[in-house]
Amino acid sequence: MKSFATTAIAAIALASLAVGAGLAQNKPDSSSVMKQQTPDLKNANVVTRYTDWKYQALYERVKKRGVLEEISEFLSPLKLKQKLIFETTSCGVINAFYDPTAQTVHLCYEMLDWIENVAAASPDKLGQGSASNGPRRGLLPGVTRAEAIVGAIGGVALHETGHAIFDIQEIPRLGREEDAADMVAGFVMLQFGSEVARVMIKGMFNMTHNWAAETPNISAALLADSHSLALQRGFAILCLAYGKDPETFKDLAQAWLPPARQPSCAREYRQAENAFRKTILPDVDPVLLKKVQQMQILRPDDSKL
Amino acid sequence: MRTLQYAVAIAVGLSSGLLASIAAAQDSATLKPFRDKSMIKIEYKAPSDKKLEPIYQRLKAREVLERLQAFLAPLRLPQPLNLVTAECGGQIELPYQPGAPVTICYEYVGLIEQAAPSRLGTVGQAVVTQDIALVGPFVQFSLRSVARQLIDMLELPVWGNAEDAADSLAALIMLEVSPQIAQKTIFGTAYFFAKAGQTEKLDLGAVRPHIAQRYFNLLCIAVGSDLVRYSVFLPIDRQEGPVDLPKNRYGHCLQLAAPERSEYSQIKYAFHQLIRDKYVDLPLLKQVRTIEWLADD
Repeated sequence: MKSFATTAIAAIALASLAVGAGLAQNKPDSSSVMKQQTPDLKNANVVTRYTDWKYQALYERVKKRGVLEEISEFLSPLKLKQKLIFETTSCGVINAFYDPTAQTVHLCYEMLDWIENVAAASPDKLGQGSASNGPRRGLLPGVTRAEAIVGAIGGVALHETGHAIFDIQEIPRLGREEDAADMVAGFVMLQFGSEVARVMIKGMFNMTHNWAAETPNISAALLADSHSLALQRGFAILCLAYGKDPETFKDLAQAWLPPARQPSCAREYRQAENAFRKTILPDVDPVLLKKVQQMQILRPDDSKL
Repeated sequence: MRTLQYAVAIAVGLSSGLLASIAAAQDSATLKPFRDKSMIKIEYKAPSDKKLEPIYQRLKAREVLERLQAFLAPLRLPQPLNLVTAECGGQIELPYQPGAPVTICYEYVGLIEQAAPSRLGTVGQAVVTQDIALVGPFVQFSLRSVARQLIDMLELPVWGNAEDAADSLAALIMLEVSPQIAQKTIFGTAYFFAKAGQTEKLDLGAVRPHIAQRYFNLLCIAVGSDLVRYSVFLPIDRQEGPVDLPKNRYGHCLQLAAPERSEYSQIKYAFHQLIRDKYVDLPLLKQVRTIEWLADD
């Protein structure tokens, strides 16, 4: 399915990549990404703003990259019923969220900082004992720092965008809200080629593994949370990927996905595809979609950071 | 919506005589017009395990499937849906397969009966009678199993976990019958889920969430539908207990400032948009509602 997701979300992913590259290198270079932007691709209903100065370095890198502008560009094919605001800000906590009362997606610098300094860090540098039985914080074996940053930020941005689209487009959700947003994120990650998809999925799974490491004891409060447990979320997204393209994700599934889950993955992917086709695609402008699809999403160097 | 009163009556029929009069309220002649229009095909499969024979006989004698068949008559489906009771080889539930018959395992019914108190039990602050503990989980399981098959049969767009979607649809129907029926089925299901959650192993890779998560999801939808009725599950002005809906969740469930954003409202909106307006014969549903399913309730 050549879909809006293929591009619009790719756009978000690109934006994330841009941020990721900046975070990873600590030397933002916007030229390579900015050159690919197409001026006529702009969603008039998407408003972007960079706020807060507490995280000065992050603020500058994100702004210089034009990350939010790229999100607007990538969302250009979607006929949003109302205004949607994207904002980078300091939240006081490690988080990212969609506020439906203000129709604003908040991407918190604290979350970006945590991804850079914990999820994408070497486990040995995080001061955790090797005797720990549970998941360890930091990079999983086989995941690069660049993948961890790019995939995590892209995943978070896509997840929150999923909430926003559900709300603004009044899309019915039969599943739980947070799982639904994860499914949007996972589905979109898989729509712009196997190379990008692997980067995104690996980074997203690595992040959920780190979330699990942050909460080793599964309490009643965690079981009652509106989000599924961290590893449940990671498995669900990896399962989508394996369901769409078993060859590309065979190694990751063998390494991380419980064997009992794997037979249902093709069905789970078809479910996401069906949901996208019936609830989001009808509001996508096919002409703008083609334009976005013509954009180069990933540059060769992005995956080598 | 009072239609689920019927399903409750079905489940009540399981209870050995406690509510036999209620089950008898719907005689075969009353149900026949609905059954004739129903697209649900039913079958009781005899078990080979003699220990399951009494359950099989009870379900058959109570005409449980016939009642479900009539209750679901308003559903307009593109093809018949098979609903069976069967022995499941020691499993309490068969693995989900699209297009397979909806199967109520005798083993699952046995588990419900085993978990039920001899007279009175509690789940947190809530008191549950034996019949409630039998009715609730049976109704929940029947409805969620039908819902799960309908998701695939009707190719419903599901964002999120389809297993959760089936649970949520079941909960919504249970809540929309009437406050009394809702309370009975919600409390009974909560009792069973809480009991079963004590022994179910946490499998993070499983498609279906852990039963403790399903328990909290059920309560979340319930308190969103009627805060006062289900406030017994909220630790307000008291210490939080292990089966209370924790504070970190119930704010999301209630959405006091914007109730239209509660999980209850969300699933209700999805049900209306995706199912009721397209696949339900509303005049027939209205007729189903006119029946006094629970005469003494």
